[in-house]
Amino acid sequence: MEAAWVSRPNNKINFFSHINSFLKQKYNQLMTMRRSREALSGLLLVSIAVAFNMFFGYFAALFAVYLSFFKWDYLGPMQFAGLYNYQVLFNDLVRGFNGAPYFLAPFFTGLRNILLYTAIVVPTQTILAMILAAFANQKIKGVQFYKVSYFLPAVTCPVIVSLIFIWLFMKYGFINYMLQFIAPGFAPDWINDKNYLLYAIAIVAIWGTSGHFMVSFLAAMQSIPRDIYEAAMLDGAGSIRRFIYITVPMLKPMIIYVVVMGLIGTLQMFDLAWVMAGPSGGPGGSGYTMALDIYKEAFINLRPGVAAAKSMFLFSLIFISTYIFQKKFKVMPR
Amino acid sequence: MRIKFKLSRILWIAFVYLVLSIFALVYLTPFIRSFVASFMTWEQASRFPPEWIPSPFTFENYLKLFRLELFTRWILNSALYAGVIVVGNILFASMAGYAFARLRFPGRDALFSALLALLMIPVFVTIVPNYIIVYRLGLIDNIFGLALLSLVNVSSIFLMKQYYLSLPQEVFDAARLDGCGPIKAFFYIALPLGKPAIGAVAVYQFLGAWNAFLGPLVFLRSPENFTLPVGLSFAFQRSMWTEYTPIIAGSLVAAAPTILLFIVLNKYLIRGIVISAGKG
Amino acid sequence: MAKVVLKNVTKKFGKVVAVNRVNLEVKDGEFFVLLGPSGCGKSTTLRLIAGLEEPDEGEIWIGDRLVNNVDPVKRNVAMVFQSYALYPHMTVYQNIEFPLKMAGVPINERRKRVVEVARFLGIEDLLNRYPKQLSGGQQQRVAVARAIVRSPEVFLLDEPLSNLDAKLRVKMRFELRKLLHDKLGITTIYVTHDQVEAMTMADKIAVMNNGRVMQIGRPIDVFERPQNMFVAGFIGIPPMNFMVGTLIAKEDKLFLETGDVKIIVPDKYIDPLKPYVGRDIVMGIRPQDIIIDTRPSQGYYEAIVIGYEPLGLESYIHFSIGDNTDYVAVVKGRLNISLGEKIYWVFNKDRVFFFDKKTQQAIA
Repeated sequence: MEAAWVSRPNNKINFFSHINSFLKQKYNQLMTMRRSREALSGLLLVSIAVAFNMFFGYFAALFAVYLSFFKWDYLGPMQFAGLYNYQVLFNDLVRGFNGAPYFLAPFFTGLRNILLYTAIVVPTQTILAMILAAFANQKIKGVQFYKVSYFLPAVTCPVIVSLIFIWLFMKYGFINYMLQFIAPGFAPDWINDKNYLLYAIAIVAIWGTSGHFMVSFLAAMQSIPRDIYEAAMLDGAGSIRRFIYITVPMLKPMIIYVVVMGLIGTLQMFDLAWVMAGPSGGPGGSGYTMALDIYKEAFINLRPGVAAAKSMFLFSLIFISTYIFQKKFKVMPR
Repeated sequence: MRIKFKLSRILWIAFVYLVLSIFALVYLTPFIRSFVASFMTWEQASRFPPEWIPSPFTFENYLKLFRLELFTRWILNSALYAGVIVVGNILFASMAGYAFARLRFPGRDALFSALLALLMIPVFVTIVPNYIIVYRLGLIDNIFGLALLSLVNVSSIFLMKQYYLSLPQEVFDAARLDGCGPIKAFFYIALPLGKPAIGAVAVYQFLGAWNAFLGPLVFLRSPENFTLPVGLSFAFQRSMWTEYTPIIAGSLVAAAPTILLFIVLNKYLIRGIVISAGKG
Repeated sequence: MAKVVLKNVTKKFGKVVAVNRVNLEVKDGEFFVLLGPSGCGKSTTLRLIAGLEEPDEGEIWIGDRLVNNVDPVKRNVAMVFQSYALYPHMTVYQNIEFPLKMAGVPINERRKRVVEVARFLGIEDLLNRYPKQLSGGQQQRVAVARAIVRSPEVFLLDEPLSNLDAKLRVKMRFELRKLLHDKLGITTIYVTHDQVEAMTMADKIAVMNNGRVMQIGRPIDVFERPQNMFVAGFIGIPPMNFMVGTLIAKEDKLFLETGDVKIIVPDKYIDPLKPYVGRDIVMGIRPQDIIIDTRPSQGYYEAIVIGYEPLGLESYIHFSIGDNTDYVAVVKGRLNISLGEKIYWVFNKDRVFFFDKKTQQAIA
C-alpha cells in the first residue's frame, strides 16, 4: 500500500523508522504473549473436563484390559493369570453351545439371549419408527401432539418403565386383556413363563425407544426438499414407489445412526432385565443377559478379572457388529 | 369425478390419523393406567377385566410410599445427585466447549477427537475399573463418588462446543480488542451468551442423572443412599409392600419430574436430540 | 405432442388469489412463455398444468384430455424445476433412467435411451457422477435429459436459468430454444421473470400480473402493441416513460398538459383520443424513441437534466419536465451535459402510446 509521502530531512527519517520498528517489536511480543496466554487459558479451561474423562474413560478402559489378565478378589494381591479368564469365558461358551443348562453356562445363555433380543428389537424399532415417521410426515395438523406422545417413553427411566410393565404383563394384567381382542385365548404369564419373558422385555424396549427414533426419522424426512418428491411424481412414481426410491435411500444416514445406536443399546441391555427378570435372569435364565452376567461376575461372584474379560468380549461384539453393519449398509444398492 | 378424487384423499387422511392415534394410545396408555391405578387399592387394580375409575379413590399408596422413610431419602438423593451432575456439567462443559471452540492451544483437536472416541467405549468396560478406583478413593456408597464419573459428560462438551462455534467470531474479537483476556472473555462473554446451550445441557443432564440406574446400583451400597430408581427396584425385589400399587405410585413419582419437564420443554428437547442425531 | 388449453383457471391460497381466471392456449409444438414479476402467478400456473396444484375453478386440457383430476403421476408432462430437483442419491445415469424405470421400460431399452439422450445433450461423460459433483450448467442439462428421455407431451420449465451465471445464461437460453423447439418440436411452457429470455425464446408470451393474464401475443406484438400500461411498462429496458396529464383541445389540435409543457398529440391519434378531452390520460414513450438535443430546436420541448448514466455504447439521460416524474431517454454514445442543464427533446411520432389513466388500457 502506498503511503502518503512527505519529504523530510535525514534525522527525522531516522526517528520515525525507529519508532516504527519499536512498535513492530512490541506488537510481536504482544502477539506471542497473547498466543501463549491463549494457549494456557485454553488448556486450563479444558483441564478438568479432559482429566475426568481421560481418567474415568481411557484409564479405566486400559485398566479393564489389564485386569482381564489377572485373578483377583478385590482384597488380596492381584495374581497374573495370563489367558485364564478368557479360558473361563471360552469354556462357558463351549458348554453352552453343547447344550448345558443356563446355570452351567451363564455367559453363553446371556449371549444367546441378548443376540435373540437384539435380532427382535433393532429391526422392529427401526422399521416401526420409519413407518410412523412416514405417517406423521403427511400434511396433517397436530403432529406435535403425536411427537410428544411417542417421545414420552424415551424420557422416562427404563427401570421405572419396567416396573410399570411388570404390572401390565401380569397374567391377569392389561396386556393380556387387550390381547383378547386380537388373539383370543393367548394370554401367557409373561413374567414367569420362560418362553415369553424375553419377548416381554423386547416389547418394553421397543415401546421405550421407537418413539425417540421416530422423531429422528421424521426430522430427516422433513429435510428432504419437496421438489424432489414433485419431480418423482412427474416421473411417474406413485406414493409407495416414492417412499421406496426417494425417502428410504435418502434416509440412509439416519437409518445407520438409528441401527447403530440401537445395537449399542440392545447388546448391553441391563436395566430392563434386572427389573423384569431379576438379577439371576428369571425362570430358566430366559431373561439373563451378557450385561447381567458381567455384573454378577464382578459384584456377586467377586471375580473382576473374569468380568473384565467378558466385558472385552462384549466390547468386541458391539464394535464388530456396528462396523459390519455400517460397511454393508453403505454399499447396499439403493 | 372431482368428488372421487377428494374422497380418496379424505379416506387416506382419516387412515393416517387412525394409525397415528392408535400408536399414541399405545405409548400413552401405560402412563394413564398407572396414574389411574395409583389411586386404587391393589385389590381393585389387579381386577380382570381392568377397571378405569378408582373406587374407592384412595391416597393410601402414596401415603405408604412416604411413610417409608427411605422413600423420601431416595427422592432427596436423586435430587442431590442430579444437582451435582447438572452443576458440574454446566461449569466444566461450558469451559471446555468454549476453549475447544474459540481458543487455540496445542493438541486441541487431538484432545477433542480423543474425547469423542470415548463415546464408543461401552459402559460395561469401564464400570468395574471405575468401581475399583472409586473404592480406593473411599467414595463408594457416596453420591459424590458416583458423580465423579459423569461430572463432565462428553456429549455436554460436544454440545457446548457446537454452540460456541455457531456464535459469530466478531463478538469474541470485539472482546479481545477491548482488552479482554481469554479467561475473562469466558466469564463476561461466553458464559452469558451460552445460556441456551447451557440450558440444554442442564436439561439433558438432569434427565440422565434422574433416570440413571446402573451407576447408582453399582456405586451406592446402603439403602439410605440409593437414588430413586435403585430404591424402587430394591423395594420391589424385597417386596417391601405386599401389594404392587405402591410401586406403581412410586414409579409415577419418579417419572413425574421428567414427564413434566418434557411436556413443558418438548419443542426444544426434540429439536436438540434431532440435531445431535444429524451430527452423529 | 399436444396442445395445452386453460379455461378460466383459478387458484386460491387462503384469501390470496394466485391465479385469477386465466385463459390461454398453447399450440402443439409452440414455445410459450409465461412472463411476469415475482408473485404474479406464473409458477403457480405452471404447477397447475403439471398437476402439482389443483385448480379451484376452471378446466385444464392437455391434448384432448381434461386433466383436472388426473394425478400428476399420470399426466405425461415433464418439468425442469428451478432447483433442478435432481435425485441426490442417484448417479446421473440413474436420474435420467428413473422415469423410464417408473414406466416399466425394460432395462436394455432404458440403457439405450439414457445413453442416447445423454449424448444428445453432451453429458455422456458424466453418467457415473453424482449431482453434487456437477456444475450448475451440467446439473441443468441432466434435469433436461431426465425430462426429455420419456418423450412427454408437454415440457414445463420453471425459471431454469435463474441459478446460472450471466454468461452461461445467455448460452443456455439459445441452446434450450434450439433443443426444445427446433430439434425436438415439443410443446414447451416456460416460466421466467426475465423479459430478455422471453423475448428471445418465445413463440408466444403471456404477460402476467397479480394472477391475471395481461396480454398474450408474439414477442413483437407485446413490444410494439402493448394492450395496457403494465405490459407497456414491463417490456423494454429501460422501462417506457409514462407522462400523465390532462388532454386539452386548442383549435383543431390536441395537447397533453403535464408539468410545464404542453405536448402536441400526433395527428393520427386525434380521432381516437377525442372522447378523452378534458380527462387525464397517459402517454407512453420508450426511452429509445426520445431524441435529445442540447440546443433549442423547432418543435422540441424543454427539460432539465437530473441524471446521466454513461453505458459505453449508449447513455441514459434522466430529465424532468416539472411534473414530479423522472423520465429517461437513451442516446447513442455520450453527451456532454451537467446536472440542472437545460436540454431539448422530442419523440418519434410513430412510436408513441396512449392509455386510459383509470383503466390502464391502451387507447389505439
